Amino acid sequence: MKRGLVTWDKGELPPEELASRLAVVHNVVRTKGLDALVLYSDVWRCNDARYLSNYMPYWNRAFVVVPRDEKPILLCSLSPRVYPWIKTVTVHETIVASPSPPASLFKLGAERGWKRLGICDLDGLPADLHAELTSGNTELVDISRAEVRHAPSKVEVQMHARAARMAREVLEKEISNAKAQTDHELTGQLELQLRRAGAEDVVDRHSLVLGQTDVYRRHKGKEQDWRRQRELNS
Amino acid sequence: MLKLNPERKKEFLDLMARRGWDLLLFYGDTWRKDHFRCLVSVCFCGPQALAVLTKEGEVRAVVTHPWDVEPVKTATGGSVTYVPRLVEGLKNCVSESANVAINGLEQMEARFVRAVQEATGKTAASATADVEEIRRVKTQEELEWIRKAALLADRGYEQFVRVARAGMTEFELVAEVEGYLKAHGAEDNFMLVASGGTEVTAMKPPTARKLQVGDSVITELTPQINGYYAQICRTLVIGPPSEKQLESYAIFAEAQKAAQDLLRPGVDISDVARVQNDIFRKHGFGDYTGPQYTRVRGHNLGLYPDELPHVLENVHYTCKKDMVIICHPNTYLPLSGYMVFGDTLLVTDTGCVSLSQTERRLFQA
Repeated sequence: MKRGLVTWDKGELPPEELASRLAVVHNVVRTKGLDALVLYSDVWRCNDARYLSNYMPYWNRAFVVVPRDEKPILLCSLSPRVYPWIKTVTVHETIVASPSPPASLFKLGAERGWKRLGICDLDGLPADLHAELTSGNTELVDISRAEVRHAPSKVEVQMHARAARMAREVLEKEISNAKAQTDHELTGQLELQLRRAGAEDVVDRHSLVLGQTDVYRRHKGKEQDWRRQRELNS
Repeated sequence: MLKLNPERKKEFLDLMARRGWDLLLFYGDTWRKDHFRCLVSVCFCGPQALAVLTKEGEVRAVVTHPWDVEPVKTATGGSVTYVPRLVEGLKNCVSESANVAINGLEQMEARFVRAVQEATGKTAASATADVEEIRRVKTQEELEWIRKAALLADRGYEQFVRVARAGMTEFELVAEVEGYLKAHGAEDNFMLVASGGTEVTAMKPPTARKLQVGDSVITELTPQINGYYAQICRTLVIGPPSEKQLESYAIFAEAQKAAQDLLRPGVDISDVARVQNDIFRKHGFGDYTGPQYTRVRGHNLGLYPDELPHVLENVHYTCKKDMVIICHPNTYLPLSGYMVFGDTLLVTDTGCVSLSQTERRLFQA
């Protein structure tokens, strides 16, 4: 989970890049006749909000709300005590404490007279939030993720490249010591080196499910079998 | 190693009989694997996994990553279906007209709930609260895993103290501890940190701030072993602690001790919060026990690091033997900034015992 260095390096992710992403969303809001567009975020499903505002929670749920031609507003279940930190790593200037993001959204909508909201991947919302939102009087419009997030930009590709470079450099350094290590020790060493290099998260399949290198190979082979089978079926 | 707990399975079957459910679904996603793992203790690597318990006691599963098939099959002994998109597998795992309940329904994507309802023709019930109540009281095997996690938390904090030094960034410190915990068998570790003085109002993920002499460095470590979490909270000072830091620590230690002295079967969890807050009130810091300055005075632990009930004065729940609760009076005080102190406590027949062995003191680096 994302508990390494969470930051906003404006050299790597320039404000202009986030502004261009926001412009895409504003265009969706206008062309679809919406009052605002809403993106869901939690500790795992954080990518839509992260893409738009660089908000990435270490815990809990949130909505990023983009009113027509306005800056995004964060409806956040985390404590207001961490909002100063959130403001340093995101574009958010307005953060509303929201133990229930749908309740806060309805309150915001009532204050502004909103009647029609777009929800990014409406049916992908957690069932309790979906039920609460659909029980209200506001018209909800499903907006596909593809409409909000276009093909990766040059900035995104550069970030992918940096992550790949980090992984390659750490693996090259550590793999030579791996023979003498248990799987846990290797995992710990990878975790240490990657987080020390500034990784905010490390996904290590080897540690999650598998135990030994031979098992890894076996499963890897199995995945290829699955793919082959699916190709045959299709 | 515990994979499919027969004791738990029996409790879930009894629950199904009481409620009239034909099928009980255990839905886990990457954030809330616990809803799945309370029946099938496999740390799946796909985005979601679903276990189905029939009223006859059969267990089958649907997984969304091919690597999950083998470990889940080994654990359940039943059929395991791999589908790249869970919605496809859901339609085939429930039968028409079945009374279905879902553990983790609230976290389930709305399209998945709809798929279940379309297949059965009925509205699925939420089993989450009932299952959580069963999970609160740990089995002996679960307690063994939590003891191991508590021991690892102690060792993790030793590493924290060993490596913390002025000039090191918060994220480098966290990297050292995460690496250590993973190297020693942790599946995961929920860890927050903060450093500084009276300007610090909360813990959060680590930043690039460098530790300085005089800083309070606060952390909660929560390693996970075989699915089960234990937590420890301690405060460390870079260099000699100030009088105010020592004064502050003494209040936190007194508050935590008050909770530990009270916690036993039959006690209302609200009183466990109240006795902690009363210590702050006694010392003139009652204003710092509310949500403006703190979150909770502790919480249940298990397959999720922040299980209910929360230890709060407005939460009522009667504590039971074999619950595992961390009591941590963590809050902001103007003396020292945000400070933390807490141990993982196991409720016994007559009281509670701490599973944390780390010294109870204000640490120094």
